[in-house]
Amino acid sequence: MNENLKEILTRKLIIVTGKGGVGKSLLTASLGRIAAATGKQALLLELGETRRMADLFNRPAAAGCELQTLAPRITGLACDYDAAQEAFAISILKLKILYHALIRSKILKNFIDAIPGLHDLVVLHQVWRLLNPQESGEPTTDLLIMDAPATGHALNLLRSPDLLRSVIRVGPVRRILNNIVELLNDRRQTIVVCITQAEDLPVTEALEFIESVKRRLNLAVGPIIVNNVQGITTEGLEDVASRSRAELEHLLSADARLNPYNEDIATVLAAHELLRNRLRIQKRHLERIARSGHPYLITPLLEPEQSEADKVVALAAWMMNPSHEYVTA
Amino acid sequence: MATATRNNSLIELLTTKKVIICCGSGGVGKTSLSAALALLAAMHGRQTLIMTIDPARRLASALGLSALTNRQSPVPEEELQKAGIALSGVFHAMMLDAKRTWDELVARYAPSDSVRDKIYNNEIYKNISGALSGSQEYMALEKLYEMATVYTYDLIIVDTPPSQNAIDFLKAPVKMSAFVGNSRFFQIFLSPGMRAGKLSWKMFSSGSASLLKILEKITGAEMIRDIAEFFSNFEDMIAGFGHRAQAIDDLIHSPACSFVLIAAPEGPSIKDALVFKQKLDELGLPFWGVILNRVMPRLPKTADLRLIAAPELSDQSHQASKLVDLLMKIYELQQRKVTVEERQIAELRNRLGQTLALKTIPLLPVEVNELTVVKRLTELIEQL
Repeated sequence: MNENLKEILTRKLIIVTGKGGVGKSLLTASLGRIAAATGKQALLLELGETRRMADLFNRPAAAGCELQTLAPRITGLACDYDAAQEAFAISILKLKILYHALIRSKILKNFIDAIPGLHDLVVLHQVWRLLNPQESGEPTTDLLIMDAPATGHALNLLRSPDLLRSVIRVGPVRRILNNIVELLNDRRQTIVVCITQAEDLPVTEALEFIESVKRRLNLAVGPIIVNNVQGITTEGLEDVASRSRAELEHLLSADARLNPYNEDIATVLAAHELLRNRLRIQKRHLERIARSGHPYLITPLLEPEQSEADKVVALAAWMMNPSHEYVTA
Repeated sequence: MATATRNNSLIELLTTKKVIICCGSGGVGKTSLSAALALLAAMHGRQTLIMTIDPARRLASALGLSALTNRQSPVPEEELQKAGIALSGVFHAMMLDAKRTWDELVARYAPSDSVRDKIYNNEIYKNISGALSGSQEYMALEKLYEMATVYTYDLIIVDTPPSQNAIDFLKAPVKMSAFVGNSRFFQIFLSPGMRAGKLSWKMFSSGSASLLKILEKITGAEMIRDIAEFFSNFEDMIAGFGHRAQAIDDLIHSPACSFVLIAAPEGPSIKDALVFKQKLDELGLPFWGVILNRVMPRLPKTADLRLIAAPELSDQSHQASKLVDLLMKIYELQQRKVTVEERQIAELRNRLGQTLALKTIPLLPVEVNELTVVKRLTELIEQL
C-alpha cells in the first residue's frame, strides 16, 4: 500500500474535513474500509444529526446512540449531541440523577448551547472518551475516524480547546481540556485530512484551512484528497478530451465510413466539448493545489450508476492501489 | 373542464415576492443561482438586493463586494457593461458579516455606550458572536429584517450560509429564541446577587443555589462571573431581541416571502431536499419549490459509431477506431449520467407532489465567476 496512506493509518485519530458536497462522508467510510483491510478496528464517528454512515455500508440506520457494526472491524457511532452532552456532564458531575434534574429545567442545556467553546468541548470529550476506554469504559478501537464538519466549523472545533483554556483555568473542565489538547497536539496520534475537489471554492477553502491549522494549531496535517477527479479511470480519455473539436472533426473525416453520420458525430463531439471544458476547469484548480506544495492524492469521479455504498468500496480500492501515487511536495 | 395550473415559473416568483430565501446544502451552487435570480429580477425592473455570505473571490469582485462587508452597494456599472447587461431596475449586493451584525445589534439596543463597550469586551460575547452554532444563520435573518424594513427594495434575495444540510438554516431561529427567551436561565444570572459581582448563595432559593453551585463546579467560578456580567448587561436588550425575533418570524412566514431549495441531482442531495420540505411543512413556511442545479445536459441518441468505424487492416483505420471508441465512451458516460439523474428527478417530482415547482438548470461548461456567466444563467432561468 501507498506509504502516505499507511502513514495516515498509523494514527489513532483521523479528523476528516472539507467543504460540504465534496465527498467527506464517502472518504471517511473509505478510510474505514482501508483500515479494516489492514487488520485494524476502526470506529467511524458522525456528529450532529446526519446519519450517512449506515447508508454507506448498506446497513439500516441505528436507533439512538449506540455503536453499530457497519462491516467486519468497522463500527459506526452517530451520537446526537444530547447523548454526548449527557456523558460529558456526568463525567464531571458523577451523578446521573443530578444531570437529569438539570436537564429537565433546560438550564444546563441552554448554558452549554450558549457557550460555543463548551459545545465543541462536549464533542471533543466524546472523541477522547472513545479513545481512552480504560478510563471511560467504552469498548476499544484501534482507530477513530471522525466525519468532521466543513472546514469553517472544523477550524472552530479544533481551536476551541485553546480558546477555552484562557477562560477556564481550574476544575474538572480544565482537566478535560488538558486531555483533549494533549491528544490533538500529539502528532503521532492525531492527523487532520482535508477533502476537496478541483473547483474554485473547495480548493480555496482547503488551502486556507490547512494554512490556518499550520499557523494557529499544533496539529499534524495529512495529504489533501482531491475527490471527483474526472478523466482518470479510462486510459487515453484525458488525451482525447484535450484535443480540439476541429482536430477531431478532421481526424474523423479521414474515415469515409463515418461520412453519412455527421449529425451523430456532432452529438458525440458535443459531449466531448463539455468534458473538455470541465477538464480544463479541473486542471486549473489541480494546479493551484500543486503550486501550494501540500502533498495530495486524487480520487476519481465514479460511475453514475453506483450506489453510495459501492462508491465507498471503489474509492477504498482506488486508494489502496499502489500505482495510485500521492503527489508529494 | 380545464383546471387552472398554478404558474410556478421563476419569473412569476421573481416579480411577485418581496423576499426569496435560497436554501441548500454546501456545494450545490446556491450563490451562483441566487446571484442569477437577483440579476434577472433587476433586469425585469425590480429594485433588487442580493445578500450573500461566502461568495468566491472573483464573483464577489464582479458584484462589487470585495471592499465592503455588511453594507449594501450597487453592483459596479463597469462590471454590468462588461457583461452587456442593461438594467431597468436596480441591482445591489451585500456580503453578510455575522460578527458585525451582532455588534450592530448590540449597538442598537444597548442602553448606553459604556454598556455596549462592556459587552464588546466581554470574553463570553467575543466567543458567542463569532461562533454560536446557528449564529450565522440567525444573523442572516436579522440582516434580512433590517434590509426589508429600513430600505425600500422591491425584492431581497438571501443566499444562506453553507451548511451540512439544507435544514440547518431553519433551526437557527428556534435556537436563538431558546437562547434569548429562556426566562429562568436569565433569571438566575440577572438576579441582584450576581449583578453585584458576588455569588451570594443565601440570596437564592435552595433550587437556584444548588444549580449555581453545580455550574460553578463545572466551569470554574471565573466563567460564571463573566457570564453573569454579560447577561446583566444584555438584560435591557433582551426585550428588543425578543420583539425582533417575533417580527423576523412574521416576515418569513408572510406570503410576500418564499423559500427556494437549491439541490444537486444526486441521491444524498435529494434526500436532503425531502427532509427540508418536511421541516418547512412543519414550520408552516412558504415553499416555492426546488431548483436542481448542474444537471447533465441531455443529448440525442446516436448510432454506435464504433460499429461503423470498426478497425480494418490499415493502421490509419485502427487509429480512427480507437478515437471513435474513446469518443463514444465519453458520450455514453454523459448519457448514463443523464439516465441516472432523470430517475432521481422523477423520484423527487413524485415526492414533492404537484403544487411545488421543480426546475432544472444544466451544467455549464464554464465556472460562474463573472457577470457574463451569471447573465447566461439568467437566460436559462427565464425560460423556466
